[in-house]
Amino acid sequence: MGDKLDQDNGMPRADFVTGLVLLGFSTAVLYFSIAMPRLEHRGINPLSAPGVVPGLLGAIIGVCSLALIIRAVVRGGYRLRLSERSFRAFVTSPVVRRIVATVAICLAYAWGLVGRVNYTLATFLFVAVFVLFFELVFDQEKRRSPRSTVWKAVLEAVLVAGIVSAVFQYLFLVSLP
Amino acid sequence: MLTQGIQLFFQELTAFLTLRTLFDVLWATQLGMIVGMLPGLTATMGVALMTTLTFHLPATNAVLILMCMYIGAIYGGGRTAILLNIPGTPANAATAVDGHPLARAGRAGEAIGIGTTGSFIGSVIGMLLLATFTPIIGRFALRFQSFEFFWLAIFGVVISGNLTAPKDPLKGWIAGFLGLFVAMIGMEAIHAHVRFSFGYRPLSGGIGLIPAMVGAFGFSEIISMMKHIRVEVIQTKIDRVIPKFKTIWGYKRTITRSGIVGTFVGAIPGVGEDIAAWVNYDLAMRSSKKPEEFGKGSLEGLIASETGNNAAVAGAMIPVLSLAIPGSAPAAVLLAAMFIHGVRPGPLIMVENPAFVSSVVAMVFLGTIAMFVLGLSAVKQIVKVLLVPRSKLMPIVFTLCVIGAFAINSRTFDIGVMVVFGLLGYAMREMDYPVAPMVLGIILGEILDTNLRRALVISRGDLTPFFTRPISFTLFLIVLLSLVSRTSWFVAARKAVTGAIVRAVRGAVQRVRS
Repeated sequence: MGDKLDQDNGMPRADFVTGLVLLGFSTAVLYFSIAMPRLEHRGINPLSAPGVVPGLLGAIIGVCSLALIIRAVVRGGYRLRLSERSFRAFVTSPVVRRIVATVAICLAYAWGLVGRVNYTLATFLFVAVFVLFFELVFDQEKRRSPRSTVWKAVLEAVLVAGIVSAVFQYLFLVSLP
Repeated sequence: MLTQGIQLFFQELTAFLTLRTLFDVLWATQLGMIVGMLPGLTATMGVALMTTLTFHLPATNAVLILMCMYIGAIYGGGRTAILLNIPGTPANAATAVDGHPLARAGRAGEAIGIGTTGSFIGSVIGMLLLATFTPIIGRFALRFQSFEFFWLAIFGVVISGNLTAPKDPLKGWIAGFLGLFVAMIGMEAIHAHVRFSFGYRPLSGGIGLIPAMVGAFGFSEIISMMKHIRVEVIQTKIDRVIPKFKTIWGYKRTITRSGIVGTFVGAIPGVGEDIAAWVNYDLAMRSSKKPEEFGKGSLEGLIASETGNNAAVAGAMIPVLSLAIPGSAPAAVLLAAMFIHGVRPGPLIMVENPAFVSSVVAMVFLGTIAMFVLGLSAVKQIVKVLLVPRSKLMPIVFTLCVIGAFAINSRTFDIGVMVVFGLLGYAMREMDYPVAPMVLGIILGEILDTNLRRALVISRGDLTPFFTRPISFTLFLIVLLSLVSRTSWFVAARKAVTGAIVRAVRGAVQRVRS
């Protein structure tokens, strides 16, 4: 098994970048843990200071990220080979576009609409836009008739928004956001 | 002791035998099966979402519904693995290897029947071991002090990291320690000092486990499901589902072994049903008389993985009840749900609330029976759920993620937590970091924090008790071995030592012969 693992190079470039991010993060954790009040004025034992455990965790994550970086460097991960062409190919790939669309629609609902607009209306808009966007823009080859797609999406949005709002408000007694 | 346990079990079981409870058992198990069947809806996500829907119910009813959902989901995922070659939940990946070739050969009904029976027996074996070992481990854990709990927390994230990221344990450990750090955010338990909130008031309450899990397992799954165009359902003929007794009896050794091994793998902190299924599949292949059939439609491989993953469900509850440490990601949600409902599992549960352990055993029993009955009936109708396109299903799931994260504490901040952990969870998946150790870390964080500091105060800063107390030392050795055993130099050294011993023995044998 060990031989097989050694042959598997993994993703050195991604590991190099995440290693650097984690190293920065662990340094920040360590810094804030050391700078954290030791509460001496309350007469507490310095060994039970609030920063002890986060500091230790910061140090451990730091050591792990260093190991990740060293391993990635050994495997040639520091050669990032960034070019305009590869960036363009990445941005225009259908998978990335689908991910961006999913995240954007979901974030617009969770952070943009919920809490600002009436919950039922927000949910209706979200479900309708999500279904229509994916069925009309991305999965065109499966589209039967745009009109029926729109009607079905609107019907689903009305049902989901209505049922979820009613169940949480009246059955679970949650004051909707 | 045993009679008292059996008596308590029947007492709790009888208390559950009301129409309302049985109805809850049936719908929760069926819903769990549907959640498990739908690729993209995992057991963890289902149980996490269901926690948000049941928090207004009494503790026992809520935990019963969650338990049935958990059992149903782990079982239901096998259906999709057999019919579509897509594991409904990660726990059913090993099922697809042999289940799908059987379906392609026109034996889908037989595969479903065998899988259902395996899941049923696995769950029963798990239930028996849960009833036996929880009190034993609980009583043993009463000897634990802060030093031992510190090592237990470290052991949890290290072993979980090792086993959930077998190709790259370093990433598993990083995920685990990141989870431990997440638990440091907010007010700490010893001096009530607020850490890492940077003046932002909602953060002073800490990161809620349920919103974090709904995000890490729900939202991140939605993103990964939506990135590809949906897979079409293959129309497969489903023949006789109820298996023949003779067929099952023929695999009695595989079933028993898979049930026992599955339960113990499930009981390892943070190591879930997926690993249990693979371990059993591997064991079955190694000990099989027909290993060449594995991967081509072996009933033995199918039954090993399905028995193993369902046994792990009950197994994962052993550390939940005895140590308050989850054996798997869905069990982590169950643990959090128990805390929400005021039940405090852990070593003291056998002293404070011994009936609760029997109650959970009775819940597993009811869920298992419901799974078996529902699993063998209405197979053709339920499979139609798979026809729902993901573009229609995923917005409903996200709506539930948002309202579910919000509902427990009525805080919009928790919606933000859900979204952030969803994005983080997705990034982690893409980079091959397992999410389960992180979740385990969030739960173990407080145990680590309070016990390390308490231990340091007790020992006045002396570190030797961490290594000299017998249980502490044993746990330290296991942690050390778990860490070191995955390094390349250890593997090389082990090979060299084994090679040297083999050569020395051979030499000695030759000398004796000559």
